[in-house]
Amino acid sequence: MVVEHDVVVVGAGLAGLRAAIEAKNNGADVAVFSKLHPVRSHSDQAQGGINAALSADDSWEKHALDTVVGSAYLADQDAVEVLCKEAPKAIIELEHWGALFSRTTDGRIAQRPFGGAGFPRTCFAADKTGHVLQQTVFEQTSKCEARVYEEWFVTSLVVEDNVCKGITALELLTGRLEAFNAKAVILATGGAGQVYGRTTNSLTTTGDGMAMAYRAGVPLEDMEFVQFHPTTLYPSGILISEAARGEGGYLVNAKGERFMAKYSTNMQELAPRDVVTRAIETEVREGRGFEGGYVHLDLRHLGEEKINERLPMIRDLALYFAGIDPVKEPIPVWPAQHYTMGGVPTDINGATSVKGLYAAGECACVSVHGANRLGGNSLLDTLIFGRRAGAAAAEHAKRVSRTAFPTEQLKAEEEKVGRLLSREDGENLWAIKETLGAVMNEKVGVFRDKVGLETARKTLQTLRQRFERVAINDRSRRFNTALVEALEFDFALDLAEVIIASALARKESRGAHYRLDYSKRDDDGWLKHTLTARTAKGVRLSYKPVTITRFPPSGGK
Amino acid sequence: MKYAYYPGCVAKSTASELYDSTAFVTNKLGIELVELTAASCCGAGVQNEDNSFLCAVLNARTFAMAESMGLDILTICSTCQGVMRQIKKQLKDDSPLFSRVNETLAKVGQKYEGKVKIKHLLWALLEDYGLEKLEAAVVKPLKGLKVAPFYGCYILRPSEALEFDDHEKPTSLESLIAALGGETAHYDGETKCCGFPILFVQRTKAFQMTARYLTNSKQAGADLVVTPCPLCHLSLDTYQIKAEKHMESKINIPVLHLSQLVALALGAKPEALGFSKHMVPMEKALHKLKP
Amino acid sequence: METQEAVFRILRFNPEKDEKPQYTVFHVSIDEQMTVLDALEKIKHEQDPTLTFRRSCRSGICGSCTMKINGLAKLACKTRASLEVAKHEEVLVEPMENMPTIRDLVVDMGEFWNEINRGKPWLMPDETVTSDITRENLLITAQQQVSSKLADCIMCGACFADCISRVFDKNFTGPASLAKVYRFVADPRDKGGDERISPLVGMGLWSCTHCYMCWSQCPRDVRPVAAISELRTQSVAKGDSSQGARHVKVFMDSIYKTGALNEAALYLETLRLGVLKDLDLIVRLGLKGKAPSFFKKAIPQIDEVRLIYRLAGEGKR
Repeated sequence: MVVEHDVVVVGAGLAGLRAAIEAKNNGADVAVFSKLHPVRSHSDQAQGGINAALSADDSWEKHALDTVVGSAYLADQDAVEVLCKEAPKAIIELEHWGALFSRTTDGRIAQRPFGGAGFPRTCFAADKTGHVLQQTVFEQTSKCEARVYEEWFVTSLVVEDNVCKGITALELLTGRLEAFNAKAVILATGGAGQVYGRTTNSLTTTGDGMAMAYRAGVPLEDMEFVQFHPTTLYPSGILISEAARGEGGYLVNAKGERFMAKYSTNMQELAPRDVVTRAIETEVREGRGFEGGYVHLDLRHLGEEKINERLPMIRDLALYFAGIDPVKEPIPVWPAQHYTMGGVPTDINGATSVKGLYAAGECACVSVHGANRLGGNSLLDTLIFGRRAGAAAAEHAKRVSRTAFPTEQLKAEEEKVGRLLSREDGENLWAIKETLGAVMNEKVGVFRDKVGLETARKTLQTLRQRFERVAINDRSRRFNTALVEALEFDFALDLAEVIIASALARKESRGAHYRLDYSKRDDDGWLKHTLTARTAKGVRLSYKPVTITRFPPSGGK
Repeated sequence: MKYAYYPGCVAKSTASELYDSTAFVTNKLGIELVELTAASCCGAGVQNEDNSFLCAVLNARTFAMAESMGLDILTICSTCQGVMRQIKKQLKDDSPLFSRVNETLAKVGQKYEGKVKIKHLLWALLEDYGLEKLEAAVVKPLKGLKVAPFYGCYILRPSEALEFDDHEKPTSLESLIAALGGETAHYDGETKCCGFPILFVQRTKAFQMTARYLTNSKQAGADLVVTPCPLCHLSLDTYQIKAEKHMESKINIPVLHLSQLVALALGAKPEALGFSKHMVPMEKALHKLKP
Repeated sequence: METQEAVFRILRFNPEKDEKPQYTVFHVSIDEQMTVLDALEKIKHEQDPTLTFRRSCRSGICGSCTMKINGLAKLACKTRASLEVAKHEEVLVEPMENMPTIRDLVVDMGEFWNEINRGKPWLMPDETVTSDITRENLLITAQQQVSSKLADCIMCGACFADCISRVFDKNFTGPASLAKVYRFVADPRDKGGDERISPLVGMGLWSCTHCYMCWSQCPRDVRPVAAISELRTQSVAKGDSSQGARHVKVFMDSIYKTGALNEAALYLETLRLGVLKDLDLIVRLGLKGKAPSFFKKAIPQIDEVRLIYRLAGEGKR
């Protein structure tokens, strides 16, 4: 018996829940599937803020320009216009729902400067903006009584004749697989940070939705564009928000120099993330970093009061996870994987090339972030396109009639799970994962070149072979987390493959993708989106144009 | 050593034997106590639930009285100590509140400077008097007695306000028991709750709490239980006969307040320590002490 | 960094195949910075893949990895293994209390979530304000300070797990639920009012023993017990007639009249006819000379106390 719902949302972070609320309020029977309890989702971890042109001295056009420039002109400008136009309303809506934004002295929502922005337009809740927004959206989900399948791991999308029919999912508690017939599915599974060994992302941010879409025949877009956040704690990779620099923090090398002046004379520490990241990596490579490969983020001059008021969580994180009190000492930081600009291609309503399949949030590629995302635009992306995808999916569900559900895929999934559970002697899953993480860090990281990328590709092939022989050695069906990790890793291998293929093919440097062997941006040759499709022979690459409306590209030759 | 003495309400009425045993201890050890007779009830965590500002002012008045005597406050009640230390911290961290409190206090001619220290007898013995000296003063060592410490809540949590023992693994009572010549019997429940705050409102639950932790202490081989709080003492002793109805068998473990245990070791006659007022008799434990 | 061999004693239980829970001992080489979560991951990856626990962010914000470590509920990712060893010699790891075990360190948090939902945990706004989508509510920092701190709650369950009252009283909604109610009560934008306060007595508002376990164990310093005190104040002010509220009023009166507690009056006026249950006790106390007198003399300078009452807004009694 296949359970039926109108709209299935996969993922319960900001995008997923925002979509669910919208779909529910539009009359759809909604079911949210999450492998975690919703409040545990990675959105909860975002710190710095969410952008909107609220001020009378600012404008959505300026926000859009900053976004497009920051994206190295790869963002689709029609989507960027939507993002920036709808931003103020989205912020106010959250505030009306109870979000506890930090305030100005006259009670308005406060905004602070952020990387790559020409105006202080980042709204924030101290340095726990993600937590505040996620809690608020979850409260509203509870209020509208949207059904949540908590701790169910979605294993595949069911697509037939380019129509999305639903999903298969594993109930963690019992280990049993079930199929769900849905008229519309919204993927909101977040990024793919765990493909990399050093990442700010949660251990559960494994790119599931992107991989599922890829396997269901949807080509992924712009996967080579992986953002590395410049300031994460050394050595854990725990995020230290850009807000620390927004509030005035300095980046200092081992010689005591505030080195950003060399790399970005105007913006210095608040240059776009890719610029800052490459600056730090360069300092380290050229021997001016501390042993181990990090630099210092100095907040001491901000004073205890300001740190406690604006950056309390950062202080807590530095104390707990690095044993450093930023009031007294500089924080050791190094870059780590942070955000996946690429993902499932969608239009401005979250629709993909498969009928009834939608995507929103980090797992989608609209594209609003192009080759590099500005800080504060991701949280915004989740709300704007989460809402639009929810509305579009509900509308779609109203219009179409339910079709028969093919059950063969469920059988195939059950066999896959059965194989993983039963294999006795084999490879250790985590040893394979560690190797993948290391090669991605080293060869597909901040600085890339042909040799490194080809090494990564070859290593990936060996890893895939090893994974075919993986033995998780936990045969229980009851809450088997090793099984879940194996399924997640299976997805990660696909995503690593497309990232490497895309990076190898793009012979230029743009935004977060930097090739040592092709270090210039080349608009003539490469102002286009990469598409990677799955074939029996491996990844097939193709390209599609960038939508340009009001900002003609500059600085790209 | 001289302190402004705050016995707490219960030690002055229902558990007056604790007042007497404290007097014995302080006399014996040469600790001078000047009682704050005009000080009002600390509020016991209940008063602030109707009017927290009132509670803060009334306690600040007590603090001011001690300050004007140039003395720190000594109390024999965990609850009083906990309530006072929390209010002290609150006033320290919240300067507008501190000013408002003093504005009100001024109307009764008092001023709280923020300097007074509040000590429980337990801390005073360990920190100010010193365990070595205490050990030397012991006349009747508690040899052969296995004592179960019942810390309860207010003397351990929240640790930032109390600044003394580690609520996760407290050692103060154990050190004291050792100095008095006794042995500590550890059990699950040492740092839990006696149920007193819900004794009126949720009787059965309070009894179940008492019953479980006392039974645990007995199973750990304890001869008696010692507690630094007169309210815990009331709950664990006076209501023990009600609590044991929720267990399969009688509990029958005597409960002493800290002052009584110390007094005993300092040579006080059992008759002078008010054991006859306890619900659970001390005879068996006292027999163990006989040389 | 220096390393040492640490003993991890972990309570295991898989209802699929085990009759009852049992401890397994693992030896792990730990350095100064390693967290208990790091060690658990190491055990799972290198020694025993069947060790089961929840985790996600590993940075103290998602609330997934709450478990009982050396007797108290903590976030495994925020607990340093070396500190645990220094204090307790080994690291004892068990699932949280007050919730049934699903497998090993994973518990069923269903009751916890049910309790949270009992409090209608969403803003009840003024609809006339929220109908204008161009303007936010005006709120200065001081007005949302209390709510902001309470909203720091990551729903990890530690307070619920270590709540002593909850062990004995399953009708007590627990600290997190009440803290969440107060997060909204204290928010100037919330218009819930009586709708939020009146159900609280039925949810066990007066069952909290203020043992401060929730304050101690909360990894985000939310202090639920303080929120509970505030809710009690509001409940009393709104005419709460339960025994708990009566107890508070009698307490207040007693101190006004005599400056101290009149235990006999407190007892009688709170319990009223309920005292009959303790008739045997009262008789025995009387015989022992321990029964408190009904008639209490006021402390010296009682007028000061009474004046302070009036100045603090309490009026004559």
